[in-house]
Amino acid sequence: MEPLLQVKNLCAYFFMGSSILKAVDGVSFEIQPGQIVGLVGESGCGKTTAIQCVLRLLPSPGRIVEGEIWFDDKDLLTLSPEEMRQIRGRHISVVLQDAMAALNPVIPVGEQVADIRLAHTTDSNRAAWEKAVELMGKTGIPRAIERARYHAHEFSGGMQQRIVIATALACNPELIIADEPTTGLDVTIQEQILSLLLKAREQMGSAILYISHDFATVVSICDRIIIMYAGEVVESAPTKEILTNPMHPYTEGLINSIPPLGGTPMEFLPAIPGLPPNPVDLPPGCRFAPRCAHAKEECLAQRPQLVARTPGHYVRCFSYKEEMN
Amino acid sequence: MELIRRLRTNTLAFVGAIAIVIILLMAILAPVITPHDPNEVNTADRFLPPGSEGYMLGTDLLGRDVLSRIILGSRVSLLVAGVGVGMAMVIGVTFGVIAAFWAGWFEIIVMQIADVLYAVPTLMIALGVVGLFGRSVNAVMFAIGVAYSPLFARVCHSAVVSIRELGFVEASRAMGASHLRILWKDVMPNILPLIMVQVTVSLSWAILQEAGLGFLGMSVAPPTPSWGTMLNEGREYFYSAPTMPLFTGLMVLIAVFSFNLLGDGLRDILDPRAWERLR
Repeated sequence: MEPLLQVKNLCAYFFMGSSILKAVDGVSFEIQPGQIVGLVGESGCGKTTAIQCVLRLLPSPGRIVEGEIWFDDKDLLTLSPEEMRQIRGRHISVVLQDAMAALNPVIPVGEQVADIRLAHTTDSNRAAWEKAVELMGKTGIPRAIERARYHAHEFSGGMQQRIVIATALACNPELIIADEPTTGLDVTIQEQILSLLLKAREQMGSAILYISHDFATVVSICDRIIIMYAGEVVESAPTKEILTNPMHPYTEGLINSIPPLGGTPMEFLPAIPGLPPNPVDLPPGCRFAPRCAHAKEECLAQRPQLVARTPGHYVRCFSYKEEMN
Repeated sequence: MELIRRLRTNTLAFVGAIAIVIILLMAILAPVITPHDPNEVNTADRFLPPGSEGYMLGTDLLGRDVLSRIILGSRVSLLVAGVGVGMAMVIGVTFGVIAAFWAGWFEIIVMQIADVLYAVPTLMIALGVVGLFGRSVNAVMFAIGVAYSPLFARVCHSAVVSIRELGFVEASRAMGASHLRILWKDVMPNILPLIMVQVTVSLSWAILQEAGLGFLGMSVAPPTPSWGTMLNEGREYFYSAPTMPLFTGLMVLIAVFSFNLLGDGLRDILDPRAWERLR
């Protein structure tokens, strides 16, 4: 099947005076139609920069220096600003992390949902409003007809995130990018937001790129998981595969740091020692090597390539280079 | 309707709004409600004190009815203030918002010009305009429009600079809103309260300014009354007949005060985040 989104060797650097911050350095991944893909990594590993590249909203002084982003047979990096604008919201939409900030404080929320319809379809004001109320009802906002006239601050955090999801679903997009949509919500609400995203996939067939540093939520909804570290993909595999057979030491560390359910309680969770490297001054070899328990000499000297260990399971680690094919 | 309902919960602003409506009605209905012809000279009845028969607020140096002249004078004062501030708002908001939204050389040039204009006292600008075009209402309106526009540009510019970085603007951009849509739906509603407050406060300043320019003999030519020119006429006889400039000055005070009250209250009234308390 033709992938819906295909990112090839994407490099996005921030040029700050004499130093170059390599936020995203040679990232490649694919999303199939209707697939939910998790993009996992700690803060500062380039997750957000990568999606800003996909939407072509990379703030200055950031620049995409290399790579291709194919969406629906179009290279997004070659489109005109107006063509790109028509793709945002219509074909690729976004659910942002902080719902309160993502909603305009002085405009009724229904109007904000309707606005996406007005920007991308030929709907009349009335039709757009009715569609907005319908969407708000579908995302689980009680008494949507009445509450569409309320302002953002009159809703709880979970309800605000529902409204943001309603705006993201407004034009039946092929791809929804969810940038840590459950951060700051309590677990029961997290669960509801996740099931809302799953429902969106079921009903509209949208693919979802789910970005998070919370491994637990990612595992619960994603078909496939991509692990990023210091601006590059270190491992990528189907969820089950990555849980049962993690290959990269970093992935292993992440999985070991999830508190286990049942069994004997542990005093301390095993943590990965050290800090991610400074993206302005990256180590010449494997970027994880300084923190890696299995690091050998070649790891510090040479940069490993992303190799296919088994079909669909990619890993960037010297331990697996010989076992390729 | 919602606005009026909320206005009523804010007593001071409501009083200000009522007073403004009365003053506006007074200006509109001036020819009907003046007890005398405001320009009718009656040398026999000069400097009558307030309370004289037929002249509630007395007469001036030419025996004209002070009350009628105050009523008619409101027209020039409000017209000059309204048109001048309206002009300042249109120029200032347009340039301020555009400058903030499309940062770069345009922003630098516009804001530098605004700063230079802002540094020149309004009176100097008015003197220049009146010197160029002669003494007329239009010149005064133009002077106020030019002199006040940097205020609006500055207020809008700084507000938009902070708004353009907020999450909901970024969200709109990520959802494919065009620049115009972002300006109209995200930026404008958020700076509207600021503009409204700036308008009401500027209106009160402009009324004072017109009075000041009239006092210096730069506003309308006699015999057309304006509050400023009346103050100027009354000044010479202040010791023998103090009531005429007193009542005129009182009228200026009431108008300025009303606009200030409304402006103060509008800031709270226009903020949806403050509505909850009123529900």
